[in-house]
Amino acid sequence: MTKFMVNRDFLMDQNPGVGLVQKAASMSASSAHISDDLSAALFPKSHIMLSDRMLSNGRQYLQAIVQEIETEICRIAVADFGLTHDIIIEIGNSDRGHSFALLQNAGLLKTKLLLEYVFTNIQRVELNARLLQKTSQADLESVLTRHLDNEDAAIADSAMALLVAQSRDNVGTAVIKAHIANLPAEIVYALTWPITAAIQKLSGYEGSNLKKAAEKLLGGHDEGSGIQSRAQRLAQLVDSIENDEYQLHPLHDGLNLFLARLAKRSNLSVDQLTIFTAEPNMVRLVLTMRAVALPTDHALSIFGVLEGGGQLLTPASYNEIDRDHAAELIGKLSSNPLYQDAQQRLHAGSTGFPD
Amino acid sequence: MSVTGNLAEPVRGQLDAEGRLVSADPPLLRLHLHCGGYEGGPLAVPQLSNLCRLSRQLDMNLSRPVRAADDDNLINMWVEIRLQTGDLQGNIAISIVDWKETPAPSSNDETSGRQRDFDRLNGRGSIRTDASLRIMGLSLPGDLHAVEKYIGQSLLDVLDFVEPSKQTVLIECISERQPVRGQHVRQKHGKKSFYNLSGQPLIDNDGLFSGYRFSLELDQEKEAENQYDRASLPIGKGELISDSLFGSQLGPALRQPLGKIIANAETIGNRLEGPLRGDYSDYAKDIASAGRHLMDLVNDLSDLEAIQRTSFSIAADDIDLVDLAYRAAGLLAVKAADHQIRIDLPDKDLALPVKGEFRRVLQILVNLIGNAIRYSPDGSVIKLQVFEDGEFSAIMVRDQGDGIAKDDQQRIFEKFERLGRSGDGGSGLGLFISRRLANAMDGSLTVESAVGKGSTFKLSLPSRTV
Repeated sequence: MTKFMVNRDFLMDQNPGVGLVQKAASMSASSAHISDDLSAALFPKSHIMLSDRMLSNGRQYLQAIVQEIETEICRIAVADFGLTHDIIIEIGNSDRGHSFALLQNAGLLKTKLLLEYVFTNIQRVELNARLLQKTSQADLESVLTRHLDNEDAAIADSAMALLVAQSRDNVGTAVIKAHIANLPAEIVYALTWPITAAIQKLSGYEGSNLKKAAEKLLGGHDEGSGIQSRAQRLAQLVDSIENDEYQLHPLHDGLNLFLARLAKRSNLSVDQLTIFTAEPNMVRLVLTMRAVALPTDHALSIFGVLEGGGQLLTPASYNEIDRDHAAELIGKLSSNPLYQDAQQRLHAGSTGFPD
Repeated sequence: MSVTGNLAEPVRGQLDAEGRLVSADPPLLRLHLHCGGYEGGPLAVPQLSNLCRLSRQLDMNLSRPVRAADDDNLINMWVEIRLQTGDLQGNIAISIVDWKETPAPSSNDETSGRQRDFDRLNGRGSIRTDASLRIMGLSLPGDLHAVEKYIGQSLLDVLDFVEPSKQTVLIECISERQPVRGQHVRQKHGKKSFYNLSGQPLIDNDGLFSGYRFSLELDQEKEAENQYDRASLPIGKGELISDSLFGSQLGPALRQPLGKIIANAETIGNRLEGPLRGDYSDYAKDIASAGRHLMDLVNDLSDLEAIQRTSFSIAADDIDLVDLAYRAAGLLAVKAADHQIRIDLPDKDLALPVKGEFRRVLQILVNLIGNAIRYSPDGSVIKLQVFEDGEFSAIMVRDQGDGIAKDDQQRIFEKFERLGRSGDGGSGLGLFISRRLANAMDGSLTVESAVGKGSTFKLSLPSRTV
């Protein structure tokens, strides 16, 4: 709660000329939503605990990607479409976000797609931090080099591409960094147009060049160069030739490749698996490991590396999960998300998996 | 083992502004054709066309993994979708940089559907409830009405308990989270069928009780009694072993111990309880096999009695002969594979809607295909064909067996007629029952055959306009 308050003060600091009357008006507008804030804090709907660090990371990350896109649009507008508007040039050269507050107040950042994406990213930072407690930064960085000598040129190329993408983002440092190239197309699309509208409002610019710049940004975006995308490609290549179960491990593959490989084997998405790792006792991750028949010792080791709450997975509890049953349940989770969502709602009020 | 495409060169394709595949490298074209597309037609690979559609919608280039199935192979691809500019504005270039084909893992997906078909054949249904016995899902053979009406209702509101069973017994079991066994119930509304109800408690991931899964077995005896009471009609004397004695009394008295004998013999035969001398295990398998034969006979006799009753009636469900052919063949797939027999089915896209009772038509087809497997040489082919014949639609089951002499062709439809054969597991009642069932559905069952040239059985049923 305090975090939100701090930020609202911060908003007003940006406009020191605002008078007391205006402050009061703004307060009355904001306090109308006090019950929303309180209900979200008191009655969380998911089982996932959001720590203060994660909330802070999430906010920073969202601010960072908004700023990246905003700067990029202004830069393209100036460089490629010859825009000479002062404010747009200033935003393009600025190292601080401008449209974030506007978008936030208008509720434009509160979309399910965007927030789920932000969550999976901050959870990945969490997991990276946990990995760093078990191994060194240097070891984590070097895990991919074993693929560089692979006789299959596609694997070697793909591993190199992932290494390059990771070094650009300095993955493994557990510090959150946003890079536009890492964003999936849907996220760039979902942010670019609202940001363009916000820049237009901030600058008062009426021409069409800003929209053209946005179109150019979208047209030039190559999601294939992002870390997740490269990890997925490498996972696809590596998994079709390697049958060695023991290679599938966060310490042997690095977090990104590990998640991508497990996702490929289980037919789930990397984002789903990332969410599983945030759930209490990582139950669905355990179920997934059982469904893809990871050997007991191996599964326990992965659990130990990724778990942050001091929980233990015992061989007995892992082995007593019926594999066919686990595979069936995990299979259901890989079906169409809209279908799953509808199923969950139709079975509202009952516990367990729907049939 | 994996088949790798030429990694140096990506597989390419081009879509025009209308989404038609205007050019494609051979692997992509082959996949497109296998997915039902045609040259110059809309891209038919669903995963790829979805990606192209998303790319157009966002007006952005995409790079994503795609997995497609082609015959027995899984194809893992890394696909890059590029929106074209300039002269080719509106076109989409597809470039597949990794193309890896691997044999598809055998899937168990069909198992549950197959199990459901077995259940329907035996008149079994199932109900899944939540912890407060509210019905969350159910399947009742041939009773769609119930499925629509029952969801969300309490189990106790839709079923009545029939003596000697009592509602209190069920409540007690449920409060103690114990399995429920052999309760006699009857639907309160709709078809008012009698069932035997058994159920297992369900425990969810958190270890909490989350409801019950009940199975419902049609209570043939109670149904028979009820029909007898309702019709109050005398039954033709001398046609049955002892009037209606069999179905209502002897049947259940035999079925229960037989079921136990088979189950125990199978447990011993499969050495589920521990190691056993080889010949003992074989004896147990013989006992199980003989038990199953007896059970089939008991079931046939119950059916025989049912169809000979004047009040016997059959539901007119909307069914499809091609669909039923696939289901029946699915049920016998293992038996056919044991004899290396291939069942050649009609094209799955065909539809031949007819009127008839789902369970009974399935029963006839299982009988016909089962006979064909029994009397065909190993390694032969059984062909199923469908066609329309005036106001009727028909399905033919053709085998490559020894055939039936002209004089015998009517005799095989008579009760207990085995044409001198024995020891092959048949009771001599299957065809008699099948023909009676076909007639009861206003259809017919005929045979054409010549010695040494195989036999063709034809089941005709009244067509239904869709």
